[in-house]
Amino acid sequence: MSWMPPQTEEGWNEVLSAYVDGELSFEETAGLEGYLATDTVRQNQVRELRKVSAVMSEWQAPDIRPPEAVLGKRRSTWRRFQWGQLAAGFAAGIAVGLFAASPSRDAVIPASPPVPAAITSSSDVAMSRDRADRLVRESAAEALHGQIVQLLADRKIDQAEARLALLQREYPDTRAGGDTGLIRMLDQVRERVRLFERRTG
Amino acid sequence: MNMQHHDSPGGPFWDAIDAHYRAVFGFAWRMTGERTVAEDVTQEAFARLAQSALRDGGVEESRRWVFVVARNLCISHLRRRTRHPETELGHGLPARAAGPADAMAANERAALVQAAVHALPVDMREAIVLREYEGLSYEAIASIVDCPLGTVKSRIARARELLRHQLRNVLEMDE
Repeated sequence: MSWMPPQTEEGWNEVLSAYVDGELSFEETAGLEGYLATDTVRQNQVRELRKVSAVMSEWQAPDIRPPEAVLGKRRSTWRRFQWGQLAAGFAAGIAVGLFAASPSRDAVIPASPPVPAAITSSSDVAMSRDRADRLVRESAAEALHGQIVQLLADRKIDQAEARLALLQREYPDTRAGGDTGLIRMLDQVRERVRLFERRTG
Repeated sequence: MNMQHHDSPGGPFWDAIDAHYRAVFGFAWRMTGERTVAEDVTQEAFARLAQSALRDGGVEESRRWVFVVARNLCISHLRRRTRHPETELGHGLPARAAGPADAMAANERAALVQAAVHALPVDMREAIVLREYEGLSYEAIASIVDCPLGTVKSRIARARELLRHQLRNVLEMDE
């Protein structure tokens, strides 16, 4: 049976996405490529999808080393590892306690960032394209907002400032993007760190 | 079938599983955005694998199984977090950073990608993360998230479409 182009935009999205992933059968691929040679709009769509993949690859996970004791072949050390973790956690707790006691962090950093928009299932975005985009946009801005709050909690002021500029530039029309409280929080943390540094020399 | 037993240190089975540790951590980290949670999830998933007789099914089945456990732990965490929001959120690392200016630009782009991926509905997020970052086939993803192949295809396509809209400013920069 010869290949038939999809009849809907959603159908096209699925076919082209599967195509860039190499998930079409040999016959489907041959049929689609024959069609693409005659349709520049769809060619551009394929190019865009490949660019999305390329941009996504710029976000890398931190590198980690698998803990020796996690794997079954070193199970004899598992208990020791757990005690080691407990001891390390205890030591870290003391260190955090000492640090937290200094520039009274709780007074500045709220207990939690704004709750991201409640998108839990794709059925939530089974609505108009505009509304779906809007929801995801609000949620993306909230995620950036959360990053800034965390950077401030870590006293990484320069990074927080840069990310705040990014939030305001990219998402000025969102709830999180228009949150002036972040600027106040940034100023407060900067002031407290300055006082703390002056006090400790 | 690979019948390497856990009491045979350094065997090919565990060497292969070692190689998946980072992949499972990367998946958990991108799903939750929290490094400590991702570390806990990964350790828990591999610890359960170590105690399970399932590893005798071979590397491929063990990889699938450990992803399923990690995915379930991530979803439980995300559900808890919706009820009790916490503070920690991960920071993306830029893949390329030649100089200070490049580093800042790359950091911004990584932050935008991170925010856009975290804004996706969970079912779309897991499908696109397993595909884009772990390079799994649609069939492998379907078996991990326990849904039909067509659903995976549709979720990945919709996730890409939403990301294309969200990241249009970044995409235009490259033109």
